[in-house]
Amino acid sequence: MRHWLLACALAGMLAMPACYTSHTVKVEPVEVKPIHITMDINIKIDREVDDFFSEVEKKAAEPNPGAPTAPASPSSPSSGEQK
Amino acid sequence: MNARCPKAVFSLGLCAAILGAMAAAACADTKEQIVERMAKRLAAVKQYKAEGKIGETFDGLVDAVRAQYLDDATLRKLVADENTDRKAFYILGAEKYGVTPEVFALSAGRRNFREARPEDWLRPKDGKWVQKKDLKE
Repeated sequence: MRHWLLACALAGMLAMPACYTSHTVKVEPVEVKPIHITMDINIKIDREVDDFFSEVEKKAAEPNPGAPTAPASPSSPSSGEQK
Repeated sequence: MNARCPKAVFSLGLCAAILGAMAAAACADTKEQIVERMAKRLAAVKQYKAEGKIGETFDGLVDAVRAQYLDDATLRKLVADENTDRKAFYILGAEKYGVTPEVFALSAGRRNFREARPEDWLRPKDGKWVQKKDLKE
Protein backbone atom coordinates (compact mmCIF):
# COMPACT_ATOMS: atom_id res chain seq x y z
CA MET A 1 0.00 0.00 0.00
CA ARG A 2 2.81 2.35 0.93
CA HIS A 3 4.62 1.60 -2.30
CA TRP A 4 1.43 2.17 -4.19
CA LEU A 5 0.97 5.65 -2.67
CA LEU A 6 4.60 6.51 -3.31
CA ALA A 7 4.26 5.46 -6.94
CA CYS A 8 1.11 7.58 -7.33
CA ALA A 9 2.82 10.60 -5.79
CA LEU A 10 5.84 10.14 -8.05
CA ALA A 11 3.63 9.74 -11.11
CA GLY A 12 1.73 12.87 -10.11
CA MET A 13 4.92 14.85 -9.69
CA LEU A 14 6.15 13.69 -13.07
CA ALA A 15 2.85 14.54 -14.74
CA MET A 16 2.62 18.03 -13.28
CA PRO A 17 4.98 19.80 -15.76
CA ALA A 18 2.76 18.53 -18.59
CA CYS A 19 -0.09 20.64 -17.21
CA TYR A 20 1.96 23.79 -17.42
CA THR A 21 1.36 25.81 -20.56
CA SER A 22 2.87 29.11 -21.44
CA HIS A 23 1.42 31.55 -23.95
CA THR A 24 3.17 34.72 -24.97
CA VAL A 25 0.88 37.13 -26.77
CA LYS A 26 2.77 39.96 -28.35
CA VAL A 27 0.63 42.94 -29.20
CA GLU A 28 2.15 45.53 -31.53
CA PRO A 29 1.61 49.04 -30.18
CA VAL A 30 -0.90 51.02 -32.19
CA GLU A 31 0.81 54.32 -32.96
CA VAL A 32 -1.77 56.98 -33.79
CA LYS A 33 -0.02 59.98 -32.31
CA PRO A 34 2.26 60.92 -35.27
CA ILE A 35 -0.74 60.99 -37.63
CA HIS A 36 -2.49 63.39 -35.30
CA ILE A 37 0.63 65.54 -35.06
CA THR A 38 1.01 65.65 -38.87
CA MET A 39 -2.63 66.63 -39.31
CA ASP A 40 -2.29 69.24 -36.59
CA ILE A 41 0.77 70.79 -38.26
CA ASN A 42 -0.92 70.82 -41.67
CA ILE A 43 -3.94 72.58 -40.20
CA LYS A 44 -1.70 75.10 -38.46
CA ILE A 45 0.26 75.74 -41.66
CA ASP A 46 -2.94 76.23 -43.67
CA ARG A 47 -4.15 78.68 -41.03
CA GLU A 48 -0.81 80.52 -40.95
CA VAL A 49 -0.84 80.88 -44.75
CA ASP A 50 -4.45 82.02 -44.74
CA ASP A 51 -3.75 84.56 -42.00
CA PHE A 52 -0.71 85.85 -43.88
CA PHE A 53 -2.56 86.55 -47.14
CA SER A 54 -5.53 87.98 -45.20
CA GLU A 55 -3.11 90.28 -43.40
CA VAL A 56 -1.71 91.46 -46.74
CA GLU A 57 -5.28 92.17 -47.96
CA LYS A 58 -6.11 93.97 -44.72
CA LYS A 59 -2.95 96.05 -44.84
CA ALA A 60 -3.57 96.95 -48.47
CA ALA A 61 -7.09 98.09 -47.60
CA GLU A 62 -5.77 100.49 -44.97
CA PRO A 63 -6.00 104.20 -45.96
CA ASN A 64 -2.30 104.70 -46.78
CA PRO A 65 -0.43 101.43 -47.18
CA GLY A 66 1.96 103.18 -49.57
CA ALA A 67 2.00 104.27 -53.13
CA PRO A 68 0.15 101.69 -55.22
CA THR A 69 2.07 100.57 -58.25
CA ALA A 70 -0.90 99.44 -60.33
CA PRO A 71 -0.49 99.87 -64.07
CA ALA A 72 -1.79 103.28 -65.17
CA SER A 73 -3.87 102.22 -68.17
CA PRO A 74 -5.46 98.84 -67.79
CA SER A 75 -5.98 97.10 -71.07
CA SER A 76 -8.95 94.86 -71.77
CA PRO A 77 -8.89 91.49 -70.07
CA SER A 78 -7.29 88.94 -72.32
CA SER A 79 -9.42 85.95 -71.39
CA GLY A 80 -8.83 82.93 -73.57
CA GLU A 81 -5.18 83.67 -74.13
CA GLN A 82 -2.68 81.14 -73.04
CA LYS A 83 1.04 80.74 -72.91
CA MET B 1 55.74 77.19 -37.73
CA ASN B 2 54.40 78.95 -34.69
CA ALA B 3 52.07 76.73 -32.64
CA ARG B 4 49.76 79.68 -31.98
CA CYS B 5 48.98 80.12 -35.66
CA PRO B 6 46.32 77.39 -36.06
CA LYS B 7 44.58 78.69 -32.94
CA ALA B 8 44.55 82.22 -34.32
CA VAL B 9 43.18 81.02 -37.64
CA PHE B 10 40.50 79.02 -35.87
CA SER B 11 39.54 82.01 -33.69
CA LEU B 12 39.37 84.30 -36.70
CA GLY B 13 37.25 81.78 -38.57
CA LEU B 14 34.92 81.44 -35.62
CA CYS B 15 34.55 85.22 -35.34
CA ALA B 16 33.85 85.48 -39.05
CA ALA B 17 31.22 82.74 -38.82
CA ILE B 18 29.51 84.43 -35.85
CA LEU B 19 29.58 87.82 -37.57
CA GLY B 20 28.22 86.26 -40.75
CA ALA B 21 25.37 84.61 -38.88
CA MET B 22 24.57 87.89 -37.12
CA ALA B 23 24.60 89.78 -40.41
CA ALA B 24 22.35 87.19 -42.04
CA ALA B 25 19.91 87.43 -39.14
CA ALA B 26 19.93 91.20 -39.37
CA CYS B 27 19.28 91.12 -43.13
CA ALA B 28 16.48 88.54 -42.94
CA ASP B 29 13.06 90.05 -43.46
CA THR B 30 10.47 89.86 -40.77
CA LYS B 31 6.95 88.76 -41.59
CA GLU B 32 5.74 92.33 -41.00
CA GLN B 33 8.18 93.72 -43.57
CA ILE B 34 7.06 91.14 -46.12
CA VAL B 35 3.38 91.91 -45.46
CA GLU B 36 4.09 95.64 -45.82
CA ARG B 37 5.75 95.22 -49.23
CA MET B 38 3.14 92.78 -50.51
CA ALA B 39 0.33 95.08 -49.38
CA LYS B 40 1.86 97.95 -51.38
CA ARG B 41 2.04 95.67 -54.41
CA LEU B 42 -1.39 94.09 -54.07
CA ALA B 43 -3.30 96.63 -56.17
CA ALA B 44 -0.94 96.11 -59.10
CA VAL B 45 -1.08 92.33 -58.72
CA LYS B 46 -4.89 92.43 -58.75
CA GLN B 47 -4.84 94.75 -61.76
CA TYR B 48 -2.64 92.44 -63.80
CA LYS B 49 -4.75 89.47 -62.71
CA ALA B 50 -7.89 91.26 -63.88
CA GLU B 51 -6.18 91.87 -67.22
CA GLY B 52 -5.42 88.16 -67.46
CA LYS B 53 -1.71 88.81 -67.63
CA ILE B 54 -0.62 87.10 -64.44
CA GLY B 55 -2.04 84.21 -62.49
CA GLU B 56 -1.47 81.98 -59.51
CA THR B 57 0.55 78.79 -59.69
CA PHE B 58 -0.06 75.58 -57.74
CA ASP B 59 3.14 76.16 -55.78
CA GLY B 60 2.07 79.46 -54.28
CA LEU B 61 3.72 81.86 -56.71
CA VAL B 62 2.57 84.21 -59.47
CA ASP B 63 3.69 84.07 -63.08
CA ALA B 64 2.90 85.61 -66.45
CA VAL B 65 0.12 83.77 -68.25
CA ARG B 66 1.93 84.29 -71.56
CA ALA B 67 5.69 84.57 -71.94
CA GLN B 68 5.32 87.75 -74.02
CA TYR B 69 3.79 89.58 -71.06
CA LEU B 70 7.21 89.41 -69.42
CA ASP B 71 8.43 91.88 -72.06
CA ASP B 72 6.70 94.47 -69.91
CA ALA B 73 9.45 95.44 -67.47
CA THR B 74 6.96 96.61 -64.84
CA LEU B 75 5.13 93.30 -64.93
CA ARG B 76 8.38 91.36 -64.90
CA LYS B 77 9.62 93.25 -61.83
CA LEU B 78 6.29 92.89 -60.10
CA VAL B 79 6.28 89.11 -60.60
CA ALA B 80 9.88 88.81 -59.43
CA ASP B 81 9.36 91.00 -56.35
CA GLU B 82 6.12 89.26 -55.42
CA ASN B 83 7.69 85.83 -55.70
CA THR B 84 10.76 86.90 -53.72
CA ASP B 85 8.53 88.03 -50.86
CA ARG B 86 6.30 84.97 -51.01
CA LYS B 87 9.34 82.67 -50.95
CA ALA B 88 10.73 84.62 -47.99
CA PHE B 89 7.47 84.04 -46.13
CA TYR B 90 7.49 80.32 -46.99
CA ILE B 91 11.03 80.03 -45.62
CA LEU B 92 10.08 81.91 -42.44
CA GLY B 93 7.04 79.71 -41.94
CA ALA B 94 8.98 76.54 -42.67
CA GLU B 95 11.57 77.46 -40.04
CA LYS B 96 8.83 78.11 -37.50
CA TYR B 97 7.15 74.72 -38.00
CA GLY B 98 10.22 72.66 -38.88
CA VAL B 99 8.96 71.74 -42.34
CA THR B 100 10.27 72.45 -45.83
CA PRO B 101 9.32 75.72 -47.57
CA GLU B 102 7.58 73.59 -50.22
CA VAL B 103 4.96 72.56 -47.65
CA PHE B 104 4.13 76.23 -47.11
CA ALA B 105 4.27 77.00 -50.83
CA LEU B 106 1.82 74.22 -51.67
CA SER B 107 -0.50 75.29 -48.87
CA ALA B 108 -0.43 78.83 -50.28
CA GLY B 109 -1.10 77.49 -53.76
CA ARG B 110 -4.19 75.61 -52.54
CA ARG B 111 -5.36 78.71 -50.68
CA ASN B 112 -4.87 81.04 -53.64
CA PHE B 113 -6.63 78.63 -56.04
CA ARG B 114 -9.54 78.47 -53.60
CA GLU B 115 -9.73 82.27 -53.25
CA ALA B 116 -9.32 83.01 -56.97
CA ARG B 117 -12.20 84.51 -58.91
CA PRO B 118 -13.76 82.46 -61.75
CA GLU B 119 -12.02 84.52 -64.44
CA ASP B 120 -8.59 84.37 -62.78
CA TRP B 121 -5.85 82.36 -64.47
CA LEU B 122 -4.37 79.44 -62.59
CA ARG B 123 -1.53 77.08 -63.39
CA PRO B 124 -2.01 73.65 -61.80
CA LYS B 125 0.68 70.99 -61.53
CA ASP B 126 0.29 69.99 -65.19
CA GLY B 127 1.75 73.41 -66.13
CA LYS B 128 -1.16 74.48 -68.37
CA TRP B 129 -2.80 77.81 -67.67
CA VAL B 130 -6.53 77.60 -67.18
CA GLN B 131 -9.18 79.97 -65.92
CA LYS B 132 -10.63 78.93 -62.59
CA LYS B 133 -14.10 78.52 -64.10
CA ASP B 134 -12.66 75.89 -66.47
CA LEU B 135 -10.51 74.17 -63.89
CA LYS B 136 -11.36 70.52 -63.38
CA GLU B 137 -10.68 69.40 -59.82
